[in-house]
Amino acid sequence: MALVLNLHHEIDKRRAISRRDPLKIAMGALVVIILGFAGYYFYQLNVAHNLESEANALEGEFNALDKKAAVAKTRADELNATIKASESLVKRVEGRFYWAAVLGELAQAVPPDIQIIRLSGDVNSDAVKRCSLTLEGIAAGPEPRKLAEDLRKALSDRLSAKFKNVTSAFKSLEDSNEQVKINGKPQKTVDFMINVQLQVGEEAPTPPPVTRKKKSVE
Amino acid sequence: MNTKLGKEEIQKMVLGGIMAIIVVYVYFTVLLGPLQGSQEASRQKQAGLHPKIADAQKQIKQTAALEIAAPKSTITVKELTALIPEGSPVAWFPPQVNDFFKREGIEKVTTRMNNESQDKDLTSFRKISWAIEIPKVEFGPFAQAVADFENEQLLAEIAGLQIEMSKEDPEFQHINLTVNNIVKQ
Repeated sequence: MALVLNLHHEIDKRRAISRRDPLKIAMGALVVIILGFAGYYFYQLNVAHNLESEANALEGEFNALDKKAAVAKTRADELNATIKASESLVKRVEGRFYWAAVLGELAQAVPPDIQIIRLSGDVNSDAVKRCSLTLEGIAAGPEPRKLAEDLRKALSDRLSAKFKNVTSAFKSLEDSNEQVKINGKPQKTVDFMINVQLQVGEEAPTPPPVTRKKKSVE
Repeated sequence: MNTKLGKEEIQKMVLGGIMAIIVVYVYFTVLLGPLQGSQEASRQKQAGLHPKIADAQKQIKQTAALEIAAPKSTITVKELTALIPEGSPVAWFPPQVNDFFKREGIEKVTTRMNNESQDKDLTSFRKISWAIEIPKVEFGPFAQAVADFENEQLLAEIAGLQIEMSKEDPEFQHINLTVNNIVKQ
């Protein structure tokens, strides 16, 4: 085997020491770290810039929309007021209580032997119209009480065909001392007062009561 | 090779370490900290704007839908408002009632204003209550007049009536009506 002599070993050793110089290695590592930090900073700067741009764009969009929405809100309020007024007016017109129908039924229900002296009626102003009628009159005949009772029933039957929740009840029914002549014959009379209640329209259904489920006891 | 560090080198290393810590601290606090704060502020701004934009768009859509539905209501209101004459109701309603009953063959009708009230549903209208007195009328023509009145006067409603037999002439009745009428504000 041939003997090899390295005459540059001093130079090689110096180069090796120079390569492994901790200061140099540390400087290199420091440069890499600084570059990494700087890169990360610029990346974050870019993200922040993009986010700010997006936020500004959104703000611009919102500002434009907000003006339109404010105008739209004013217009919507106007339109809603008109729609509400229209609905209320139509409801008012269509929900009126028609007395003509009641008067027509009364005219047909009262027989010739009965005279109505006074009739008064009132309607409430709620959505469901409730009407209260009071009839005062005189019934004359062989059986005047029966005549008055027939009138009460006739009123109830006739009005029930057109109205809801009709009730007809005597407030008073009293024999009178006065007598009237019908076809030349004197007849007994009774004074009566009948109260009739009736309703137009449906009441809004009441919501079912909320019931809590009982916890089962184990 | 001599690997032992001299005193001066150790001092340099410690000083270098302290400097590195300070640099890292400054990097995160002075440079990255505000950036992240700015990012968070932008995110929060965006998060706050999205629902506002959605609300604004919803409002615009709702108004557009109302614009389609409203003309019918506007026409209804115009038609019903056209039934109300201009001017003070006390100037036109009593003559209107008198003329109406005259056409029905009923004379000497008196109309007085009872009271007026505001309706919460109808802000641009008000309700006036009137007392109408008919001193002498037969029941049949009166019932016919009531039917015609209810058909003709769409904005009026008879809230109450009182019919009393005339003592002098039992064929005739004395009548008091309470009529509620809707008029312009």
